[in-house]
Parts: sequence; structure tokens; C-alpha cells
Amino acid sequence: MNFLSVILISAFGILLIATYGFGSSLATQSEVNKLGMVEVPVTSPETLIGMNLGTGSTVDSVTFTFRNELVASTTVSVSIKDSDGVEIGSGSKNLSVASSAVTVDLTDTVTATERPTLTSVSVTAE
Amino acid sequence: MSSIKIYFIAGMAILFTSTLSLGGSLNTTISLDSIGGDDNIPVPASDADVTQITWFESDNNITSATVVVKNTDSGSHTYEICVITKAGASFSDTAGTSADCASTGSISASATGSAVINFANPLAATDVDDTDISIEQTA
Repeated sequence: MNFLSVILISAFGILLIATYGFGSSLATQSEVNKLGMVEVPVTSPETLIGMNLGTGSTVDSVTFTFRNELVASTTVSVSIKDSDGVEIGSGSKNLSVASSAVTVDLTDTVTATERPTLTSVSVTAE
Repeated sequence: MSSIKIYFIAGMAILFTSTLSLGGSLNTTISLDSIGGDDNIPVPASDADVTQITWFESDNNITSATVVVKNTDSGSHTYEICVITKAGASFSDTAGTSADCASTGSISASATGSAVINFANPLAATDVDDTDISIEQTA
């Protein structure tokens, strides 16, 4: 055995060990903080500046506050969806007089079971 | 001298073969579910409900928002809340920073708490059409 062969065999050994390491998974346990997400898309001639879902375990109504008054006969609709995009609550209200604060009573209320899955409150005023 | 050539050729053949096998891993299908640093780590939902959000305006721009959350768990928790408002293709935050985030401080069980988020890039009030709120349970 000469010096060059020793070098080559050693290099191959190192390569084998290094390649073996690629396949090994991390032994440490990952810790992930809990995450929640809510999106509020708005389609309206007036900008939404307030939304109140209430502090109860269910959502029976949603109060919206707009930057300026919505004109009479405007219909404010809300569609509430869960993380799978399934609608879990909805309702609408037609304004009899101009107003910037609108409370929409949901015809399909969000139950206590559905409340933690709420991830989207879509608002439309037209 | 001839043995050196044989060793050299054999060594290069081994290295070549090993390198080929490394390159073979590029053909594997990409998997996107390894976010937690290990495979298939689920991200549980936070023990908090968004109960109220109020946007504030200054000089015709939406400059900040107050988010109220309710701790639905039986113990105290602290939440980091981030809010991004959108106006078409424009965003209120600065990419890669936590500028549009704020902590609620500790909220006791079944109680509510709030955080005020000041936007890095205030957007025109008349153009804002979407808001994303994230809640990270940090403690």
C-alpha cells in the first residue's frame, strides 16, 4: 500500500460516512407554537373600520362599523367560513335608513363547536 | 508505478459511483409538509378567538388596528397577534419583519385581552379591502 492508495481509501470512507448522515432524521423533538388565522375580505363602497363577533362561545350576530354611512336600502351580507372553506355562518341585513353601524343577525349561527374553526369573515355591502 | 495508476483509477471509479448516487436523490418528489423541522408535525390551533377588530385612521390612511381576543383555554396564555391589511396588491407590512405584530400580554382563562398593531406601511382608507389576522400562542 502506498500513500496515494491510503488517501483514496480514506476519502472513500469519509464519503460513505458523510452520505450515511444525509439519511438520518433529527432526533430532537420539534416544538411548534399554536397558531390561529382569521381573514376579513370586504366588498363595499365604504371601508370597514370595525367588526365585533362577540365574546360568547357562539356567534349569533356580527356588528360592523363602516367609515361613512351606508345609504338606505344597502344590503350588508356576511359569510363565515371554517379552515376548510366550508360556510359555518351567514346572514344579511337590508338597511331601512342610512347608517355606519350595522348589526347582522345570523340566520345560520356559528355553534360552539364551529367557533374555534372560524377563519374567514367575508363582508359584502351593496 | 503501475499499481499507483490502478489505485488511482479504482479510487476515481468509487468516487464517481458515489457521486452518482448522491445526484440520484434529486429525482425524489418534493414534499412540503416538513415545516416543523421533522416530518408530519401538526400545528395545533391557538386557544384564542378573535372577538373584535377596530381599524384606526389618520390622514386618510389606516395606520393601526386593535384586535381583541378571548382566551378559551383553562389557563393563562400570551398571544402574539399580527395584522396585515391589503389594498389590491399593496400590503401594510414590511416583508420579512414582525413590524405589524404585537403581544397581548398574559390573558387569564376565559378573559379577553387586546393588542394594538401599528402598520409599517399605512394604506389609503378608501382602498383597504382585506385584512389577515394571525394569532400565535407564545406562552
